[in-house]
Amino acid sequence: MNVRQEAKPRVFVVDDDQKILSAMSRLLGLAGYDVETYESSGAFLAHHDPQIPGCALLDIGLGDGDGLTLQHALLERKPARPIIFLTGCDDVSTGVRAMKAGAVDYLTKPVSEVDLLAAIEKALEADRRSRAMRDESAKFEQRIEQLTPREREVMAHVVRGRLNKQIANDLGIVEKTVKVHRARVMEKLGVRSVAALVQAVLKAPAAAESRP
Amino acid sequence: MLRKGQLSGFFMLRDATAELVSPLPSLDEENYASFQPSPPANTQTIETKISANPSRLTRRVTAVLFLLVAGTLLLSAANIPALLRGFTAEVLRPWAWAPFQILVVTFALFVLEALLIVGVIIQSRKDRELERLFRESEERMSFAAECANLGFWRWEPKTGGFWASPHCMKMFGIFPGENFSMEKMSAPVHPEDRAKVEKAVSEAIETQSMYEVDYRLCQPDGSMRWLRTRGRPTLGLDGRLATLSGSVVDVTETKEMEAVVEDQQRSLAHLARVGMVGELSGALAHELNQPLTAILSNAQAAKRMIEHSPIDLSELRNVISDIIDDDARAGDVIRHLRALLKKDQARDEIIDINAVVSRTLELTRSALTAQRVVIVTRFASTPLRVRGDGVQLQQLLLNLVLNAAEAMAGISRDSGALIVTTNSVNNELLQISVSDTGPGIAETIRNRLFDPFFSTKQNGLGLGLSICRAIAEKHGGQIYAANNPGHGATFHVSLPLAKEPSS
Repeated sequence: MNVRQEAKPRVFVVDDDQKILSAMSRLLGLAGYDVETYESSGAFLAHHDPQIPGCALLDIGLGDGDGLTLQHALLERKPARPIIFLTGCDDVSTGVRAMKAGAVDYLTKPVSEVDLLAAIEKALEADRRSRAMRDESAKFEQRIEQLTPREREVMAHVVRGRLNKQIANDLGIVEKTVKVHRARVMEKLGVRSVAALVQAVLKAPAAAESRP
Repeated sequence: MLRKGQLSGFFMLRDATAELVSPLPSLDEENYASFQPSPPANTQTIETKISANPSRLTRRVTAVLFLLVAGTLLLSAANIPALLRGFTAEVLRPWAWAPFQILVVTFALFVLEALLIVGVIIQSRKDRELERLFRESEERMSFAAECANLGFWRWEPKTGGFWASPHCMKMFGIFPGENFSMEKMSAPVHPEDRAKVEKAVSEAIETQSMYEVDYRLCQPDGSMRWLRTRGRPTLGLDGRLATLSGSVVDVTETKEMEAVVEDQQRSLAHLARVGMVGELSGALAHELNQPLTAILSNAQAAKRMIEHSPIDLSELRNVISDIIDDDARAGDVIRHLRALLKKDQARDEIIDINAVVSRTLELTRSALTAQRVVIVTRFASTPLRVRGDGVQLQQLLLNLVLNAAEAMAGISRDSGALIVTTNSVNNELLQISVSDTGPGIAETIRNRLFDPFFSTKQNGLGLGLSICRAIAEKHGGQIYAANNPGHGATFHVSLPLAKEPSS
């Protein structure tokens, strides 16, 4: 039970209207989310920890600057947090700018529970996915760190689709040694096929090719 | 008696019209002095015709003349025998004295009588000329009074005497020859205006000064006429009111015109207000959306709460009271909007200007924050009460605030500031200042700022500030603009503070 509570996804709500904050906090709390509310973008940015999973529900018209500015500030802090906008006045150009900058959704007040929760689910899903991807590539990067320079060379060639014989020729070693290196790479990176290896390398290309 | 009445009528005219019409043609001092104005007790009937009566002096001279002629004739008659006798007996003795003396005396008397007759004829001609002048001046006077729609009246409370000019009687629906009195004059005054008239009269008596008061007069057919009375009380030696006299003018047409002008002004102000609400529609939608959003989310939260068990009743109570509060907030916005959109009769109430400023800023807050304008308010610590129409005053402020916002729209971001200050000056005036950090007012247009149809905006009608000025002036105040020492402009509105604080 305790474990499940900690796993509750978190929604950060920023609105300059205290009444809306408390209403949102109630509704989202009852819908099963962990809610944090802020009355200004300044207060939100001061306390914000990008490592906490969750999404942000932002008002467009905030007392100390508009929501779009806050969106850009959040995008600069990695990992980026998925954002849903809530707006009082349905302004198309603001909406387009928000969506182009990567907002998950742009909702007009007053917002129905269904739309709001659907948007939040979508944003949380996006957050989960990006975090999982980040975790996976981080794990893979760690594994690549464990490879010897020679093994990394062999891996680079394998990923490029070269045959053992060609690799042996290129590196000036015997084919048997290439096979051993290759088996070690597969083992250390925890992949079973060349296809899986290629996929993993594509997810973390920087780490894989930094030292060829 | 007739003449007395007539002439005292003239005196009254002179009294009452001292300020209104040029003095009468000057009368012969002697004649003037011979007719002391006597109290025209109950002389309601005024005859306009002047009979050809000679003056008192002429009358006396004529009487003496008659006596003289009679005496001369008697003397002559008595002496005829003596004369005849003298002439026959003494015809050869012309030196005989008695008949000759008689002849001389009689002749002298005839000459004297002849002279007197000529004098009387000349005097009576003069009198007739004077009477003609009287009549002409009277006709001119009454014609002028009628043309100017002026009526005159005079009242003596001690004797109850009352006199009024024919036109005055006509105005009050009194037929010539009918009795007219102070009671009859005050009876048809509109009940709502009676207190006003009484107050004006009693103040005039207290200060011994002229008074002027406008009031409605109920006509027998149920319609209303507007009359303006200017009156002057005079006090007797005992310090009590001796006479009250004055003029009455029918100002119905003026009043009707004023009403039309006022109505048009109100329509114009209303149109401008509707236009402003249109400009504010985005901000107003936001103002409405906020409480509606809170209400919806709270209601949905409440629904979820009921589905859970056990129900957290105290939290549910909080939710419901929040919904009620937000509903009231939305209701306020609507009420506000309706007040601005409604075309109402001008209201006369005691208003706190600080509250009007707050309401105005509430309406414009989201529009200003969207423009990144910082709002600074410096309110006087005490409520500043004015007498007038709250909606109109809010329109004035709204206009100034929106103008300020528009002035700051073009400037670089993050430097806009709207400063609204209220303070009282000498406990008599209050001043509202709306200051912006825009480009300020060009010197070339400063004099024309408040002119109607003068606008620097591309789509502006140029009515906003002229309506502002009309509103300020209607409240007995004024409006003016000045550039700030640094940058931007400030509009100042000064209004008289309400005298009695509302209870």
